[in-house]
Amino acid sequence: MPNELLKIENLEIVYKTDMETVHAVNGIDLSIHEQETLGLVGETGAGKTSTALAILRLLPDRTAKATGRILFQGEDIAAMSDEALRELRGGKISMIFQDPMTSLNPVISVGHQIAEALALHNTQNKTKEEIEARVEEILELVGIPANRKNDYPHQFSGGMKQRVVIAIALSCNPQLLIADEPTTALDVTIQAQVLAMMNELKERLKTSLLMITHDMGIIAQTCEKVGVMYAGEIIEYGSVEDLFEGKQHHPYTIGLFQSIPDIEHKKERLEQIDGLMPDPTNLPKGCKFHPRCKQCMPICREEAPGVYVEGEHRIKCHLFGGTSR
Amino acid sequence: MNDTEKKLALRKKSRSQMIWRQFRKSRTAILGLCILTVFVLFAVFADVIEDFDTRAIATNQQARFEAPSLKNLFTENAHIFGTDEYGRDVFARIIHGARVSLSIGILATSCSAVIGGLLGAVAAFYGKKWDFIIMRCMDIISSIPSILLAMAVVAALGANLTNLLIALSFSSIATYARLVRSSVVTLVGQEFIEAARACGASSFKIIVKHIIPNSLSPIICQMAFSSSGMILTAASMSYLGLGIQPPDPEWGSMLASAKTYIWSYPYLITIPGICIVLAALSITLIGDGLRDALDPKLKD
Amino acid sequence: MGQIPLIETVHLKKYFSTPAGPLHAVDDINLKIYTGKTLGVVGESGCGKSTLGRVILRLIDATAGQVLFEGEDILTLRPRQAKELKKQMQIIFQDPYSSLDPRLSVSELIAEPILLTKTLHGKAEVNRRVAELMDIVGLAERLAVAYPHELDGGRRQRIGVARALAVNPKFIVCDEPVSALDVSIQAQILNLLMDLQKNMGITYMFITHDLSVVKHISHDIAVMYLGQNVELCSSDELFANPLHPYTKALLASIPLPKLNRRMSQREVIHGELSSPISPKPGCRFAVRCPERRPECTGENIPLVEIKPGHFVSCIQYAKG
Repeated sequence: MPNELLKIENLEIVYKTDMETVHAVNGIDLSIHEQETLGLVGETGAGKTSTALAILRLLPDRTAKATGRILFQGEDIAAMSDEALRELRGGKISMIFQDPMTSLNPVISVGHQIAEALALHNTQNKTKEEIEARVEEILELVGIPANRKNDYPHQFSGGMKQRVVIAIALSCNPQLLIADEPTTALDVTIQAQVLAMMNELKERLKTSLLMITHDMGIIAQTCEKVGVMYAGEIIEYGSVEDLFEGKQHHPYTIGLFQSIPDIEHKKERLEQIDGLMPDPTNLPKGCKFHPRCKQCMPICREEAPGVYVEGEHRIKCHLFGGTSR
Repeated sequence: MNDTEKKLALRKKSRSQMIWRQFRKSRTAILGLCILTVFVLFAVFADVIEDFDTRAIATNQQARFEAPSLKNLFTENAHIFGTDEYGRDVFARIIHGARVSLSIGILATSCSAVIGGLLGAVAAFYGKKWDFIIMRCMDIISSIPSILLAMAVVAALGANLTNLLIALSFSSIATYARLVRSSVVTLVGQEFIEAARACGASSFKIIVKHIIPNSLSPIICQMAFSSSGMILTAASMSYLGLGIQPPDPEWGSMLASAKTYIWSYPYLITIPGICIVLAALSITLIGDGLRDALDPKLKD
Repeated sequence: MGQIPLIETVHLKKYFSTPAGPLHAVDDINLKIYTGKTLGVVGESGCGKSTLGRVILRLIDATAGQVLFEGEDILTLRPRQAKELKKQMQIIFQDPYSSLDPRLSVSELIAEPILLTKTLHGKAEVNRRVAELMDIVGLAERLAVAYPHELDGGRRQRIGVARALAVNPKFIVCDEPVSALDVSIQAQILNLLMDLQKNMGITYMFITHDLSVVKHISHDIAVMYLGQNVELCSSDELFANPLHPYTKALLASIPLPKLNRRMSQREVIHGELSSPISPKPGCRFAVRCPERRPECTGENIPLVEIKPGHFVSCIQYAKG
């Protein structure tokens, strides 16, 4: 069993403004081991991105409040000094954002942007030439010819820009890469290229990956462990086999699968989940999915469900008579 | 979702009531509105409160430099703001001056907004050649400092109220033309304009129903902000002797004539000064409140 | 099929002029859409699928070619006749955020097309129709006074559907109507669109980049690449028996929610879309094609019928 790299215990994130209080994340637990890929899947507003930002302590100070513990290699992120935090961000943990168009600085050449990331975390006191060499190496690694390092972001297509973003993220050999919807803005064929490349690089560089997406297909193609998020909770967690081939599921997970049009079999009509995501300023009592659940029972309206555990597979639902929180 | 329902339940009112509700939430905007209302009331009823000829214009050598006091209130000789070097009542001059200042603010702003707005809309809508010609002219206008431009216009046409208005409007046309042009250009590219066209709406209908309402709020805010600027510029022009001519009362010219007595009779310069500041400030505060209230996305 | 198609495009072309030369957004498209059916148009961004939809609706003027509505060329119609025709043809936009005027309430938004086309007169009648439409698309009555920004994407898209339905059109162009929505909401909207087709016999042209969605909703599918139609056949045939290398690549690129085909084991096509500006004659996919031959470039490859109802434009099938 490889070592545990990241551990999140009972994380809660609340955004407070003058007008309202948003409960974005409501008590999640998860862990990522070395060289493992964990997928977080869920719809808009499920709390995926907030979780990712909390790991890097990037939540806006003034409005957001995170409670619970986030341990990276056994060290509490909340207790880190500013210097240790800078070391962590971009050094040990890197993040890739959804939109490659806005995550690159348009007036700096891509080679320079990668060099900048390297210079910020230059612990081995590399010389300028060594950094340049590393920039070229990294660009080749993500499939961009090294001679394009002096080009500017607008000279690259969307897929190429996302490759540059990945190059920057990987430049300092991070132990954990957080990818927040890395291919959502890309076309299918380009998405396939980028995903294949990420899969390959992850193997080669022995990096752990936290893949945040709304697409079950991407989860199936890239992840080993999966957490399904709904209204700020992980309602089901397990290995991909548990999730895609297991027998027991949370009703929301079943609904999600049935909502995806199946390309291999023709169905007359999609099974839909009725209703909408609950309002995070006013979450329902009991199980947060109960207003949309087809198998809702009286207890679901009153009590938050415990967790049903079978091996690694955990389901948070009354149907299975969960044991504890 | 309960929240949405609650909000919707409250929505039996018209849009202007909604805007007012939102506007009311801002305390500073309400303060601005109160101050401005006071000025407007005094300006409107200036003739009722103080007679123009006898109190604001006629000199009275016996009553020169009387200090502000509440003595003789409600009588012929009340001088709550004191009197000036000709024995004229400062209060009377202030409220009659308010008429001039406020109407300059409103008229000059409206003129420049209408003319500039039209030019900007034409430039954005017809594009190409028109756009180029109009916007380059605007560039030329805005490259000259506005007060210099206004001075040039007044110097050419002569110093009186009408010419001052023309001068002030002309110098801020460019701001509106740019503002309207940019908002129309972005609006024309929006999908809902295309959606309206797909329903068969004519260009005229699209302009009236979609483009004007959506570009109105930045214009209204700009008008609020620039009318305070207009009052200030008008005051500066009068201060320089290029605006309202003595003995007609105007805040700027009152400042100019009081500058000789700044050490001996400081109230002569502070009172019109405070009035200028308060008027400009109140309009700016209202503009701020309007900007927030007119944005439908902020409505709560 | 002896009947007249509801919509037919004949050698339809749209070139945009750019400083670098003409951009071939839509290049010689011949499609037929029959009453009550859905034609799916699939392609990646920049392949001209949205432009095609807009040219058919006359939102953009065509450079050349014809669009036949029930056998009549609509591109040559005078403005007044064209306005009459707009009632028959509507569009649902991709982005339910920007396609609704933020200053109009839900009921005003739905009433707009009715008032513009003057199909109904009198406030009471319009209101009744608006209420009826809201019921059809599944919007609660109390939302009539809400503004678009107060609603979520799914409900906004329902407004978009209601607007399109407002004038009882025969034909609706759906321009990526579900790609901005979450999966569970996407399923709701797709079901709604399919119910409407079943109950009212509406004809759709469904533009999307998502092959699984297009398979679900379409009867026929046209695959577009850089302005050209590279493959056209029935939905089942396309997925069972794709012929054009680009179609095959598209199918292989979809990340399937199944464990049996992991990404790394599958074939991924390389390269990116080339520029649609002044394209050279020949197959536009050739640069990326894994089955490229020397004959691919040099001469335009026609769309030929390989078997009944299956058209493909590829040199492998062009000459026997």
